[in-house]
Order: sequence, then structure tokens, then C-alpha cells
Amino acid sequence: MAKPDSLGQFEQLVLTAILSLRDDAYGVTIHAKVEELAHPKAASLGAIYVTLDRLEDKRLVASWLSDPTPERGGRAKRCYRLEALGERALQESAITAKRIWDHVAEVWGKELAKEWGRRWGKAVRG
Amino acid sequence: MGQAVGKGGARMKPVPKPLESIAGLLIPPACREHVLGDLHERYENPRQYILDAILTIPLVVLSRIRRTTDHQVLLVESCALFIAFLIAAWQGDTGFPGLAIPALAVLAGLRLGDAYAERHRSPWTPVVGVAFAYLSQAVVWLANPALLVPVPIMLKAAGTSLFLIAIARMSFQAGPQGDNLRVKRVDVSR
Repeated sequence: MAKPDSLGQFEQLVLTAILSLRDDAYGVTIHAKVEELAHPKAASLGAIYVTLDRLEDKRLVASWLSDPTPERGGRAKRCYRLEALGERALQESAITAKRIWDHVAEVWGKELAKEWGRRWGKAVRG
Repeated sequence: MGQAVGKGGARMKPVPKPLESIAGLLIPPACREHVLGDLHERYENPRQYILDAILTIPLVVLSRIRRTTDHQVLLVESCALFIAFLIAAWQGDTGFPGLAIPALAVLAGLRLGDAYAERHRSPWTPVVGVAFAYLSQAVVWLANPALLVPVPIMLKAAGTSLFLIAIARMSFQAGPQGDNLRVKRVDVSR
């Protein structure tokens, strides 16, 4: 299997959004999920399309057109799913992030890390 | 009547037809269906729709340009344009900036032509490129007539570049990226 390229932060967010949305991953829902994950930073719908195209060219995600729906003016959705290469790339990114987190906690102390975790958790929920 | 019902059973506001038609014209055909659908789904009021379209469509076009640009073809087209304008300007006294403007306009026209083409590498794209060169001359005429390329040189350069670019594109017709795009087109028709 080919080795996936390392992912940028925005690519990680988009892949995580696709992973968590499962069968309902398309432009609007991916954008909403990315905004939730990147809170308080905002993301534009155009940036999501650019990243999805790039991820598709890297063969990390695959897309197909669904049936047209009335709430979209009779237009189809382009749905996305993670490919095996995308899952592997996301897994590697998550492992790296976990390793960074562990080192931060080790150097700056577990209490401070817990406090940060609580604060970020609140920020994501709020 | 005529209003769609959304996921939660809420009545959706219809997008004004003229707005949707303008947005549809600006979005490249390959992504028109899903981008228009997404913009429709997010519609709240005309102002929000226009803002959404302004922030989304340029990035969609740029992404489409990136996907349809074959770097080998771009290099060959740049060389063909350089040769065409050099030959045409051989006897004239047009300076480098004057010649660079229409040549760059042709390249921009080719990229946009490819991005908006219904099928990969349309035979009309070189014509779009040359049209962009003349359009650039109209803009130069309004902004700074000193940089205007003389008409005989423009005619020679446009003719030669049309010929050379058409040959270059025919030679690169069956590239690997072309195959990739053809597969995507099958997806769109599903």
C-alpha cells in the first residue's frame, strides 16, 4: 500500500468531519462539522471544496453524486467517504497529535493539561 | 405552493431564479450540480446567498483550474506562446511588457477555458485564449495605450499561437490527467 502524505491541519479537520458524518458527508454537513471542530475559527464553504478536491486527487477520499432532493432545489449532493489511504493518514495524524499531547502534559504537568482539556472541551461544546 | 419541505419538515424558502441562474453560469459545469445544491440548501435570504456565492465560487473555480491544469501542457503552451509572440514581434519595436500582457492573457484564457469546458480539453479553448489576448488589449487601450501591441503584430501572434497551441494540445490529448478527469465525468453523469 502507498504511504500517505502528511496532512495539513485543515485536511485533518475535513477528514475527521467525513469520518464522523459517515453516510451523510457532503458539502454542507462537512462544512458545519469542520466549523464545530475548528471553533472558534471560521471556515468558508469554498475552502472546504478546495480541500475536498485536493484530498480526492491524493486518493484519500472518494466521492459520488447522490439522488436529487427537493430541499436542494432538485439538485444532487456530492457525497464523500474515506478511502483506506485516508483512514491511514488520519490515524497517523491522530497518533502524532496524541504523542504531542502526552509530551506537553509531561513537561507542563498533568494538572495544567487537564485544565486545558476542560477549557477546550467547553470551547468545542459552546 | 412551489416550496420544498426540508429535512425537519420546515418549509424551505425558494432561491430567486435570477440569482441561481447567475451563480450557475459562474460555476464550472463539472461542479455546478452539487455546489448550486449546497448553496440552495444554505439559502436564508438573497443577501446571504450572494455573500455565500461570492466567498465560494472563486475558490471553486481556482480548484477546478488546479485540477484541469496539466503542468506538461502548461509548459509547452508557454513555450508555444513565447515563440509565437517572438516571431510576430521580430520586426516591430514592441517592448517586453507590451508583449507579455497578451501572452499572459492567452494563458489565463486557456486555464479558464479548460476549467469551464464541458469535456476535457475542448477544441474551442485555444480560441478562448486568443479572445482573452484581444480583451487584454482593450483593457490596455483604456488603461495605458503606450503598452498597446500594434494590430499587425497582434494578428500574426494570435494566428501563430492558435496554430501552435492547437498542435500542442492535440499531442497531449491522452495524458494521465485526462484519464483521471474522464473517470470523474462518468461519476457526474450518475
